Amino acid sequence: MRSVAGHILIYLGIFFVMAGTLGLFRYRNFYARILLSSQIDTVGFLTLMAGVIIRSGFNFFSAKILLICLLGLIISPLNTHVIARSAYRSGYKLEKDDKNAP
Amino acid sequence: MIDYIAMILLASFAFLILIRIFLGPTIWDRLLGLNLLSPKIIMLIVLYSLMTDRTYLLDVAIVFALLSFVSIIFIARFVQGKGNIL
Repeated sequence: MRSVAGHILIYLGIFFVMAGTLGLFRYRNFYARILLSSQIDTVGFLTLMAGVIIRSGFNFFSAKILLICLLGLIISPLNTHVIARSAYRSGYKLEKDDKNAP
Repeated sequence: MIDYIAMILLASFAFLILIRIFLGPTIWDRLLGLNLLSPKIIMLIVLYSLMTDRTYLLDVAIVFALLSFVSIIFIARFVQGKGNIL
């Protein structure tokens, strides 16, 4: 029962990663792409780690994975913010004739 | 067997993001691709260490997360204000 729930959560995380990766090729706007990257970074990452924790049970292994989750939760939005700030300050403007702009 | 399928799917998505890094017109697109590639490698390491029951491989994942953090922040601060280098 616990193994089945873990497998379902792992494949749900892989589905979120797939949605974010296909969105990278779907949008032509840079800031829309950087918005979609949060889907891979936080949602897919945390769902897959939750599946791994449920499958392995409560021991030393899952405590280490919890540390990786905490690290990813702090680091990934910081990276995205720094890249968007660097692009905006350097004058990376939006394209004018963009039909896919949100 | 079901872990092998998950790892193959993750590796194919990492390959798609490599194509995005090659195609990216400016350096910020390449930085975004590097930022998206590092969580996928961490997921692959975690799935492999779950599959083979080796706890010490998780230290590699922690070190990889910290290294991606340092490299992306320093490259982005270096490029800021200078325009498109590559």
